Amino acid sequence: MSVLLVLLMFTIVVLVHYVRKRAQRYIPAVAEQRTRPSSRFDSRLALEVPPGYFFHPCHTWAAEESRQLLRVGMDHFAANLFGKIGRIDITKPNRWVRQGQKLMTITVDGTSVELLSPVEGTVTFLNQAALENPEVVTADPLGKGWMAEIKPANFDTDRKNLLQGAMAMSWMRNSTVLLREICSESPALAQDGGRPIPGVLQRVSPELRKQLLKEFLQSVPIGENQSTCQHI
Amino acid sequence: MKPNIQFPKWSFWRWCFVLLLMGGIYAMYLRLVEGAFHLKFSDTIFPWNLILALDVLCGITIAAGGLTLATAIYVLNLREHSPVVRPCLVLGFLGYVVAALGLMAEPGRVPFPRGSHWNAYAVSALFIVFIAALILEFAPELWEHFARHEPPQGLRSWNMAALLLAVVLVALCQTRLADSFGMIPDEASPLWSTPQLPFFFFISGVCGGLALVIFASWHMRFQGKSFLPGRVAGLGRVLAALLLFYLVFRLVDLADRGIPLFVWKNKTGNLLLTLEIALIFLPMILLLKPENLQNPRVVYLGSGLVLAEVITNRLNTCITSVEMATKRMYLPDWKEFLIAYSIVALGIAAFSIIAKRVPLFVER
Repeated sequence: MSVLLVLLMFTIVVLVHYVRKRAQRYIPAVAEQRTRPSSRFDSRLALEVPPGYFFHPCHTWAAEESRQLLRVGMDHFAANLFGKIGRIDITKPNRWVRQGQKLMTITVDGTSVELLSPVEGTVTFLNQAALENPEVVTADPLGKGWMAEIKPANFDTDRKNLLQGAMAMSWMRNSTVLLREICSESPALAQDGGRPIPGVLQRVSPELRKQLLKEFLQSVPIGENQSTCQHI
Repeated sequence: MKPNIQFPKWSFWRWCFVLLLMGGIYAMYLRLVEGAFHLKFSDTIFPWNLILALDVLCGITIAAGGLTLATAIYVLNLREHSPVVRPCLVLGFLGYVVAALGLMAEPGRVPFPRGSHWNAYAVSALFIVFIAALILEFAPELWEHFARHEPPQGLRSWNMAALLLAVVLVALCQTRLADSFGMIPDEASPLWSTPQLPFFFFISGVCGGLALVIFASWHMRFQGKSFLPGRVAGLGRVLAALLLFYLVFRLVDLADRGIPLFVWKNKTGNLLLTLEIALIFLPMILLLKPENLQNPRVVYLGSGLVLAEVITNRLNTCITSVEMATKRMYLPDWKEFLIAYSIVALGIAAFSIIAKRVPLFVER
């Protein structure tokens, strides 16, 4: 009887604590608290390059969380291209990925696109909150929209193939200019030449979509649904 | 002119803690006045009461577990798990503090064998070595703070030596403590009284220590101080393996001694043993699934169940087994309740204060 009384007492305490804490704001642990005082930010194009972020030419990024863990995801440019993401399928934990190999598959309006891994290593953890709610990825791709944690094999070597800082910002601006040139006759972009409308891929023809995916994400669409594509 | 006095803001739990502490102090005072302090081991039917079972035994269990984990990380050179060492040592130290406070509340009851003064020396030596290990663990930060330059390179090796010595002393203390149950074989149910008790105490202690680190890390997340989800998943994986090991040995021990499990008779003892086995089995099943490890809430739930198992096991071993053997029911006095819970609350409060001011869950 005393055993049950003790267990009941602890259960009541934990339940009361849980109910009281439900409304409390959750402060993200460790490196999620990024104040980014010296982020490079282009407000006109809505592009951001925070310090400590390394960008792959296929618009994925990696950031060091600790000496042996990296956090990865897609950048603003890719998130803007996709717009409203339907589903994200990502490599399962304890699987090995190579730099430049497929890490995840993004499904948008019946079209699936593969995104490449920015680093080589073992996937250790997935951000279920972002994977189950893809709008988080679109809204905050560099913060709460991180996709997975990877334990890198040799990040010192991998980072030589990645961009950061001013070079990354310059590259992103060039990508946006190139996007504007490719879609010069498409209504997918803003009239003032500023930030592209989110969901560019759904607003262009299938041929243009293939070109954009090949140019910027080094990918091809898989299982494209012909009936949903928009014609110019 | 009225003084501008500003009273600090007290939260709900602070008020609960203060009230509980005041109740515990008052209960201790009443026991002192009533003369309960001189009660000896043989004076009562239930020699192991709630204070000894919950505070002393559980405190020692957590301490042994934390210390063993920290030493294992050093000895096996698991550098990637080195951030776990600090919370293990701090929680372990607080476990011993809670056990010591429990002993002070019941000085006459602890059944050490006659002529075994070396037990007191062993426990004292353990405390000293533990404090030394804690100081050495935090020495780099202390050194940089006060001396303003890099600490010596050999500091870590001294810490490993201190931890190894502490683990040897812990193993000795655990063995002597479990042996004390063997002194009264007629007054303990065979469901819990087994020759393998020291081994089971040790294994459940390691499981409990690891579970408490996960539990504490989850609770510190609201201050932005917790382990990364990947590290919590790794700890959950290790905990699942330890639970599997523990469960297999418990079941083999019960089968070897011919103790039937899941006997569906109206016997409280069997039901409580089943509850105990379920509290090992359920978290093990939860944590063996890789998708569950990706959810920190599930890992936290599993760790909570493991802690419940440790408490249940200690209470069953101390109280339920004697209840079954003597066919009497033990209901703790209200003073025992207050004292036991106020000591636990002191331990939790001490950890909260330390965790807010000292970098414990640091990804180094």
